[in-house]
Amino acid sequence: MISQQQALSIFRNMLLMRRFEEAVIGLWATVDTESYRHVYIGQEAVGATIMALLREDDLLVTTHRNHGHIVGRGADPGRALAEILGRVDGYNRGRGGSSSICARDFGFLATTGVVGGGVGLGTGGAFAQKVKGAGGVSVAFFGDGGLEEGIAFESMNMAALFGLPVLYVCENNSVGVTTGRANNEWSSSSMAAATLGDIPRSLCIETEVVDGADVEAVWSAASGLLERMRRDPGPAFVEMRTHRWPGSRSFDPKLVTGTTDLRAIWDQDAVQGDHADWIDEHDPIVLYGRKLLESGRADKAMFRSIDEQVTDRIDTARSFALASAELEPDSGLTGTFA
Amino acid sequence: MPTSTFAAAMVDAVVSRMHSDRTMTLIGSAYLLGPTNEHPSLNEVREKYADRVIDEPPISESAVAAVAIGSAMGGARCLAHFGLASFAFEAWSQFVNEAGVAHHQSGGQITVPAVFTMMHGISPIEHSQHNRSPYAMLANCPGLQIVLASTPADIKGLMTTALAGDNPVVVMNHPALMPMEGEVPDGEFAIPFGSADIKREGDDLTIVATSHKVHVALEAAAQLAERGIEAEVLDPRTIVPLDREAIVASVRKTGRLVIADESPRTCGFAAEVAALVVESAFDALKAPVVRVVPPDIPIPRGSIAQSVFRITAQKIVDAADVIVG
Repeated sequence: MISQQQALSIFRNMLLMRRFEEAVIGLWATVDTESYRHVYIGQEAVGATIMALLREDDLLVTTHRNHGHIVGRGADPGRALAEILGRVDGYNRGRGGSSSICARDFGFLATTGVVGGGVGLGTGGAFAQKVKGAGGVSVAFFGDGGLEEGIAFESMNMAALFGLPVLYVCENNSVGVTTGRANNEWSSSSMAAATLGDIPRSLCIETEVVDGADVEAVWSAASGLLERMRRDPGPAFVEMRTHRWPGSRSFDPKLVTGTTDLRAIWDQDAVQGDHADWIDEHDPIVLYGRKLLESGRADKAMFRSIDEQVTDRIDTARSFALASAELEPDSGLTGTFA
Repeated sequence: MPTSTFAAAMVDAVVSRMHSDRTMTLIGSAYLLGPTNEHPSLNEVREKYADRVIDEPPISESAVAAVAIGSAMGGARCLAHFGLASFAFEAWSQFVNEAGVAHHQSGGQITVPAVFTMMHGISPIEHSQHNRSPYAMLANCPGLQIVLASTPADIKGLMTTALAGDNPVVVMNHPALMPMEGEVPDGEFAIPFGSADIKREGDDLTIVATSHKVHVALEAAAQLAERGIEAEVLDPRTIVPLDREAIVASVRKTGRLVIADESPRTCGFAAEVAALVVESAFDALKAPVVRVVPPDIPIPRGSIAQSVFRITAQKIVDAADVIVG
C-alpha cells in the first residue's frame, strides 16, 4: 500500500515533471534553441511511481523521452534544463540536448536516443547488478516503438535465459492516437502481435498490462515485480498504457491543454478547452489528485502548497539554465575517450 | 624469456584480469579461441566464475554487445567474444551508436570498459560473407579503440591495457596468428595504446603492416634484404589511437612507403596511412605511396579464387620494386 507520505511525494514528483515540461515548451517559444524535444506529459504516473519504488543502487536506462525520468529520479532540474538549452552547466556539458540527458550519479547508466537501444543496455545493467549481488535491479524505460527493433527481442531472451534482474517498463503512449503522421504525429505500435506483452511472454517472461495513468495500478504491479526480482533475479515486463497527450509533437510540442490548472482536481468548470476530454479522463495528475482528495489524503490547500513549491523550484531551475553560459565552439572537441 | 602461443598469451591476459577484477564479466567464452577452444586456464575461469560468465550466449550478436556495454556502463567490465568479425555486423549499432558515443555524449559521465574480440581475415573455407577485415569501418566511427596485434607479446600487453582501461575496445585477431609462438614477458605486462612497434629496422623503404600481414611484410623484407634493399617494418598495433608520429618519422627516414593491410582499398586503413603521409611528410617522399590491399570486391571461397585477394610477400616485394631504385 502507498503510505500518505509516499502518495504526496508521488504527486509532487508528477507535478515536478509536468511543470518541467511546461517550462521546456515555454523556453522553446521564447529562447532561440536548436533541436527537438520529446516531452513526458501524460506519462507522469508511470515515472513518478516507479521512482518511488527504486533504491539508490538501482540502475536505470532511459530514452529520448527522458525528462520525466531524469528529474523524477531526483536530478537537478536546473542542470537538466541547461542541457536542453545546450549550456555549459547541462548534465552532458551541453552536448547531448533534450534526447540525451544523462545523470549517471542518479543511477542512469545510459540515456540513448536509439529506439530499442535501452532495452539491450538495461539488460546489461542487470547483468552488472546480478554480478554485484546486492539485490539491485535495472529498469529499462522504453516506448512501444522500441519493441519493433530486433534488439528488444534478443535482449529479453538473454535476460530470460540468464536470470537477469531487469524490469522492462514499456511506456505505451500510443493509446488513443488517431491523428497520424500527416500531422507530424507518430502513431507507433506498428506491431502484428495482438498485445505487446505477447512478445516477452513468448520468452516465458512474466508480463503485466497496467493503466499507466493510474498511480495505484502502477504501484501495485511494479512493487510486486520488483520485490520478486530482488529476491529471485529474472526479468519482468510491464506495459504501461497511457493516452497520448494531444500536444505531443517531437519537433513542435504545443501546450494545447494549457498550463496545468490543479483546480481541475476539484472544480469541473476548470476543465476547459479543445482537449477537456483528455484532461478529464486521462491527465494522470488530475486523476491522482482527485483520488487523493476523495480519500481525504490531500486537500486544496495542500495541492496549492505543493504547486507553489514545485513552481518555485522550476522557476529557479529556469533562471539557472538561462544564466548558464553558451558553449565555446571548441567545447565538443575533448573527451572522446576516458 | 618464456615463450607462448598467441592464443595462450591472450588467454593469460584475460584470465589474469578475471582473477583480479571480481566484477568483470565474460560473454561468449566458449568460442574465444575458435571452435576447439581448449585452454586449461580459460576453462578454469569459465567454471570458477560461472556466475559472471555467459559461456554460450544465444546467436544474438546485437544483444551480446548491448549486454556487454550495459554491464560495463553499470560498473561490471565486460569482455565479449563474437567469433568472426562478420557475425559482429549484427552488433554494429551497439558498437558505433552506443559504446562509441556514450562517454563523449554524456559529457564524460558514462564510461564503457568493454572489450569486443573477434577474428578477421581470409580463409579458404569461408565465403564472401565471412572473409572480412572490417576494422576500418569501425575506425570511421569515433569513440572506439581498435587493436590489431601481431605477436604473442603484443596481444598480451595490448589485451592487458584494454582490460585495465575505461574505453570500448575492439580487438580483431587473424586466425593464422593463434598458433604462432613467441617470447612473452611473465606476469602483468601492458603495452600502451597508440604506440607503434618497429618490427624490423631499415633505411630504404617503410612497410606499414597490420595484424598477420606484419609477418608477411617481414618475409618480404627478408627477401628484399637479399638484394640489398633494407625495409623498415612498422606495426601500428592499434589503429585507434594511431601512432601517427612513428609512421611519419619512419617515412621521413626512408622516403618510401608501402602499406600492407587486409581492409578493402576504398576508405580502408591503408588509405588513412597514405593520406597521413601525404599531409605530413609529402616533402620527404621520393616515390608514390603504394597500397597492397584487397580490391573492393567480395572475397570468394577457395584458395584459387582468393589468390588475387591475399596479401603475399611477393606482392609486397613487387610493390617495393616499383618504388625503390
